[in-house]
Amino acid sequence: METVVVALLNGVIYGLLLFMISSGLTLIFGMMGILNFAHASFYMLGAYLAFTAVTIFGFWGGILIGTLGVALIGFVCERYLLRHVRSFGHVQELLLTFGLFFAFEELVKLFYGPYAVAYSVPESLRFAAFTIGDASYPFFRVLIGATAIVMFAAIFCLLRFTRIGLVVRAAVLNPDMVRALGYNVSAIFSAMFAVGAGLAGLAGAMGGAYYTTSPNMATELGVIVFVVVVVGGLGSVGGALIASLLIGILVNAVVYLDITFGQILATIGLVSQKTASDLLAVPLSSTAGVLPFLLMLLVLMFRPQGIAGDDRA
Amino acid sequence: MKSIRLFALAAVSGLAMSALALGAGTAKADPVKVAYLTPKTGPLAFIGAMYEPTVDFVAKPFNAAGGWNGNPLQVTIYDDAGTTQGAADRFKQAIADGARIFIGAGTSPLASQNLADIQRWNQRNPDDPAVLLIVGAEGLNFTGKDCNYYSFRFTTTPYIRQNALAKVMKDKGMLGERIYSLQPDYTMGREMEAASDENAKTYGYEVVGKARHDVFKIRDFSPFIEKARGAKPDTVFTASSGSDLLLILQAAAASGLKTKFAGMFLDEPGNLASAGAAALGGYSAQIFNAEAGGEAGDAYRAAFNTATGRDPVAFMSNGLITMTMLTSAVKSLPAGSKINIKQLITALENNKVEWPMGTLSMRAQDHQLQLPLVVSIVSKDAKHKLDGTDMGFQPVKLLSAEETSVPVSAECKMVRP
Repeated sequence: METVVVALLNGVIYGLLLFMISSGLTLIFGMMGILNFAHASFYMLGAYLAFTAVTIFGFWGGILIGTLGVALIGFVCERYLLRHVRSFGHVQELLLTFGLFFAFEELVKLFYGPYAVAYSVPESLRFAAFTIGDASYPFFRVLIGATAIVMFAAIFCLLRFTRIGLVVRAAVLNPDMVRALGYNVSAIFSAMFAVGAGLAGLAGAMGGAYYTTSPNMATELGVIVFVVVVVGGLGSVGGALIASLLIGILVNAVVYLDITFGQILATIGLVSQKTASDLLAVPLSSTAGVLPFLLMLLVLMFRPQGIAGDDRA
Repeated sequence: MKSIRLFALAAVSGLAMSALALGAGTAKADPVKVAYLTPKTGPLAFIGAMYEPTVDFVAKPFNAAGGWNGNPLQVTIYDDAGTTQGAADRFKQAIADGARIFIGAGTSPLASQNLADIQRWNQRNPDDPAVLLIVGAEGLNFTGKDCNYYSFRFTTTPYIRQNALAKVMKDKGMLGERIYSLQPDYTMGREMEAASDENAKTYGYEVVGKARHDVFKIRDFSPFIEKARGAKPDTVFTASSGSDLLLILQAAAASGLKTKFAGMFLDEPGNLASAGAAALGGYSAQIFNAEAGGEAGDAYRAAFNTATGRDPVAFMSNGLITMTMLTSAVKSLPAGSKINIKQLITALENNKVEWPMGTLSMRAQDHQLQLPLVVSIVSKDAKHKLDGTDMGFQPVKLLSAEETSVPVSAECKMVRP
């Protein structure tokens, strides 16, 4: 029972972290149609900026600077790079962000070296929030989860209930009309991109401290955020939340299952016991890393628009 | 525009002149060309960054002392970018540049590619063979079914390391009877798992649980830690490396799992700093540990530190061993205009080299390096601190080359010309 609770909790928190990173991506895609390949790089930059600022401004100052700094980088990228290729269509935008991904990674290696850096949760925040059985549950994990929930609520309310949200949604649907009404649509798009990047920066500043901060963190997470966004439905923030939680829990749960593929196939009578015990003795738990991709495949086959996506894509 | 053209012209003629000068220089002393294949860009760039400083550290004094009868050792580093395609391309380039001695300093897949290239070259050019020195690939196959007269391995296998860890921890009463195996899901992890199974009787423990994880794909190891907790292990063996290892240690520390971790890659640069207090109490089977080497070890560390600005850790030590054994073998060869590769191979097989941890030698049957290992524990009491932290590796026991040795694999059928 305790194990189940801990597993579920771990899955939910990991899912919420995934949501933190992917919300910005789905927001940018949903609003601007840009599939931002460099999004995981913003996550990495957030961690490195926070790591640099921590020594001067303390841990919370580092988180703040990581968030705002990446938002600024996002703004600059949109204003001075993406805007110039927008008229050529989405493929060019995609290629540009693809290039940015490599540029950011090499830049980080240039300044910080190819190894992991010593960015971690300060001693004062390293305590157990509560214990379940033998397992103590770290406070910082709870904090990550809480931040993600606040973030979701903020994005949702901003878009749904405020005037700014109304203008933004209108600008997405009919930019020319909104422009004619006297709003600065270019500025709205720049701001949107900055917010999306900033969210990834925040996730990086927090996730980098709890997990590791290394030049490979963008590559390691880059693919999984795309999986989250595709499964959830491109452009849907709510869908991204559902998909994140689903993947988080699934990946966690499968580790506990002590059965092999062979046993499953033998039970339903597809293969013999002998094949099951030697050729197909692949434990289900070792598929934790590929499971999200399997899920993406299934979603693309049976519901291409994603769990909560509209039919636009 | 004109000035650019002028500049280009100047650059080209400059290049041509320096090439001429180089040609004139080589007429006197033919350099012994060594091709060093390692990733310097891409996600595996940290590997190349680790090996690079070790090359000059050995080659420079060797050349200053006259090299091979006046011929300098010329080590050229080729960037394979961490891909097998890159490795194959750089191999061709190095062959064209005249190199016949290859050092493969990458992962097991890269070393496999290097080995395939060497075999193909040697089949087609039996009179002009090339030799491969594998620095850091621990896959069993290189001294098992793929063992080759023209290839040498200068590191351990998971069997050697697991054996050393279990032996020392058992001796000191730290092993316990319940062992858990948490391994990265590729050859190295599988071999470590198999080694843990195989040694269960010898060291009187029971493997109470096993799990494998995808490599560099998992961010959150807490489910693996909770699963391990369920098996109530005394010691967890793991061949995980890099960020995977850090995440495992951090997840264990954060959730309060009080179990000893024993592995082999905790001393990679940056790991201690990044893992912080979570690394304390972790066991590691190390190639080099200055404290364990006494005065010689301290002197070696100090010299390396002066030359490169850092301690020799992790696979850097393998880089140093490879270069040291190569230069020592080259030095013993009779003078001539060109290195005879077969003579070099014989010299490598017969050479015994002194190194701060003990004697190094190469077993002729399977070309597996016979080396001493240090089993250490991460502690604040260590003499030399690492990565700017207050922690370092405190030696528990230094095992001699005879003690770490494991028998030749039955799969190794080396064909000698």
